Amino acid sequence: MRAIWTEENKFSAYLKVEILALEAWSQLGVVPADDVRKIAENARFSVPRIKEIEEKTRHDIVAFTRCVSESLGEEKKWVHYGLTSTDVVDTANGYLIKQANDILRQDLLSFLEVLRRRALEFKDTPCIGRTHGIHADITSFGLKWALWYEEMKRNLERFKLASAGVEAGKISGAVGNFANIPPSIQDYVCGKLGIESANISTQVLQRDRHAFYLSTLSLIASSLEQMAFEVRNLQRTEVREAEEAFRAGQKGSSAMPHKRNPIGSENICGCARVMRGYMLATNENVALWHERDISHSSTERIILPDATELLDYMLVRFRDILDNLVVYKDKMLEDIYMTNGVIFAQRVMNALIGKGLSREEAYDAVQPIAMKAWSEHLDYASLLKQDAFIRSRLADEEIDACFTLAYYLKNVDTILERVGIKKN
Amino acid sequence: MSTIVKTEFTFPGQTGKYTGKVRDVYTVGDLIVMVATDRISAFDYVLPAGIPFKGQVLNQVASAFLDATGDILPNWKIVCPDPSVTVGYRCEPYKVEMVIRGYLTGHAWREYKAGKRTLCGVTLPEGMKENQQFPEPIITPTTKAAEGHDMDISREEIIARGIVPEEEYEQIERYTRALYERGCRMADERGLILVDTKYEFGNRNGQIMLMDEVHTPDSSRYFYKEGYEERLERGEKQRQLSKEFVREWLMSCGFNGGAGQRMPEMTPEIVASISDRYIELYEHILGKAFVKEERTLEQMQENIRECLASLK
Repeated sequence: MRAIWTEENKFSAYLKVEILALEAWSQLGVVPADDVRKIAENARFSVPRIKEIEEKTRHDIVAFTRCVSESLGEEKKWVHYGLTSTDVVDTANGYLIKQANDILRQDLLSFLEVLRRRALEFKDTPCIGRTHGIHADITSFGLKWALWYEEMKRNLERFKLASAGVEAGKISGAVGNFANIPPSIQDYVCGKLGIESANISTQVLQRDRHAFYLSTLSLIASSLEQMAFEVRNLQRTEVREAEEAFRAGQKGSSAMPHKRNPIGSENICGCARVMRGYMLATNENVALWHERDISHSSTERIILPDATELLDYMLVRFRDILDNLVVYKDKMLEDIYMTNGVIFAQRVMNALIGKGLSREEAYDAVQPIAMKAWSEHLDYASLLKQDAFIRSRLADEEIDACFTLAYYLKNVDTILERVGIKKN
Repeated sequence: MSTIVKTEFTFPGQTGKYTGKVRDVYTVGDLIVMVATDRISAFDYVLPAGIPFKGQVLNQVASAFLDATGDILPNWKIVCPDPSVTVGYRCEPYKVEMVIRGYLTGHAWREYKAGKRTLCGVTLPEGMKENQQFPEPIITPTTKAAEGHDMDISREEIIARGIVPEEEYEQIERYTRALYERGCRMADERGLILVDTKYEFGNRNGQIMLMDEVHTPDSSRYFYKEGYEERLERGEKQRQLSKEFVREWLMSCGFNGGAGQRMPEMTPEIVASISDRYIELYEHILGKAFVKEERTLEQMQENIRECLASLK
C-alpha cells in the first residue's frame, strides 16, 4: 500500500494522465500522433529534479511538467496541452485511490473469510450473551462471528459504493466548463484508467465523494473497533473466555512476567479513533469556495495515504488476531453456570405461562427465587423444585427441561443460512 | 461421504478450463477460478478414489499462507468464495518453478549420492549427509514442462535462454528467499521444519506476483523438528509431515507407478484414513481446528458465481 503513495508512483500517475490526454488530442487531430509517440516513449522525470525546480516555481505541477519537458525534444510543447493542474492531480488521485482500493477490497474479502470460518467453527459453542455488561441469555459463540460477518458484508457493499464515487477523474479545465478542452478527452483518459468520467465538476471533483469514502473507511474501522472491544472484554482476567494468541518468546510486560495483554485489539481501537478524525476533516473539505479553493489539498495529502495505509494495516493485523484467537470453550460453559442457573429463568417463566399463569404471575413467581439463588449462591433448579408454588405447576422433569443448552442453539444453522455462511 | 472429484462448471464470461492432476482451473476474463478437488495423485497417477476434504485442506492451507506472505510481494489471490476454491488474478506465468531447498533430501540427495556436487549450477558442499541442513538454502529451479517431467535448470541457463529476463529473475530469487524464510519461521512456530518447497511466479501488468499454492503439503516437504538432530546423528529417516504416507501405502501394496502394476483397491477405511491424515496436516501446519464443510457441486458453483458477480 505504501508503494502506491510514493512520490515516484504519484508522478508516474501524473505522467500517465498527461500522455493519455495527448493520445485523445491526437485522435481529434490536434496533436500530431508522432509527437505523442515520442512523448510516450521518451518522457521521463526524476523526483529530486522536480523538487529542485519546485524550489523556484513554488508549484508542484509546473515543476513536474518542466522536469518532464527536459527529457523531450520539440514535442515538449504539447505537454500539459489544454490542461489545468487539477485536471491531472484529481484524475491521477482517482487512479491512485483505485490502486489502493484493489488492496483494501482484497483485505476485506480475506477478513470475511476468517469471520465465516470461525462462525462455522464455533456455531455449536454455547456462551453467555451479555446486555449492559450483565449475563442475559445463552447464545452461540459462532453467532458473534456471524454478526460480524454480516456487518462486514454491509461494509463491503458500502466500500464498493464509496469506491465507485471516488475512483473518478475530471479534465474539464479551470472552472469545469470544458471551454478549452472537450469532454471527449476526459472520457478517453478516464476510460483508459478505469475510473469514472465525472459528468460535471468545477476545477476540482466535488469533495462529497471523498467525504463519503473516508466516512466509509472510518465506519469499517469502527466495526473493527467493535470486534476489538469484544476481544478485549473477553480477555479480561475475570472473563477469560478468549484471548489473543501469545507467541513463544513474546513478553506482556517489562515489569510483570505473568501478563498477557490484548495489545493487538487495543491497537485497533486506537487506530479507529485516528480514522474517525480523518472522516471529520474530509467532511469539512466538502465546503470549498466557488469553483474551488485549495484548502482540501493539504488534508488530502495527509489523509488519503494515511487512511488507506492505516485501514490496510488494521484489516490485515486484526484478521490475523481473529484468525488465531484462542477460545476457551470450557470457560464459556463455566460462565453460563456462574449465576447458578438463574440464566434459565426466562424459560421457567415461559413454562409457567404455558401452564396457564399470566405473565405477571409467572414473572413474580420466578424472579425472587432467581434473586435468592444468585445472591446466596444456591442452585436455581433445586430451589425451584423446592418451591411449593412452582411444584404445583411444574413437575421436576418439566423444570429440568428448562435447563437444556441445545434449546438456545436450535436456530443457529438457520441464522447462518440467513447471513449466507451456510447454504441450504 | 461424497467427494468432489470432477467439476463441469459454467460461468458467465468463462473463456477456458484446464484440468490438472488435482485442480480444475477456470479462466473468466481477467480472473482465474482454481478449484482444489478431492482428487489425489501419486507417482504421476490420479488415484481412483477422491479423498474427502482434501481439496478443502489444500485450498485453505494455500490461502492461509498467501495471506501470511502478502506483505512480501503481491499474490494472485483475491478471495476464497468456497472452502475448496480460490478466485484470483490471471497472471502470465514465468516458465520456471523456483524450488528452494534448506536441506539435502529427495532429488537433491539422490543426485548427491550419485556423486554430483553441482545441482542447477549450485555447488554442493562435500561431506554432507542425507537430510542435513545446507549452510544456506539453495535455489534449484526447474523448467515448467507442458508434458512430461520438469527438468533441472541453472540460473545462468534461465537467463541465457531468455526464459526470464535477468532483472526479473533476480527479483524472483529475492522473493523466493524471503518467502522461504517466512515459511521456515512459521513452520518453526508449529514444531516443524520447512525442508524444501517450490514457488511459481507470474507477471500481471508489469508486476511480479506469486501464483499457485504456497507451503502446502503438496508443494512442500516438512520434517518434524522434535528428534530431527537425533535421527540425523543416527542416520535414520526423518519423520515427515507430507503426503509421503500415500506413496508409502501404495508402495507397501506393490505400486509405484511402474508399467504393468495394478493400482491397489482404495477401501472406505483407507480413504477415511488418508482424509484424516490430510486434516491432521492442516491442523498441524496451521495450528487451527479444521472445520469440515460439506456442500454439493451446485452449491460450490453458486458460491463461485456469486463471488464473480460481486467482483464485477
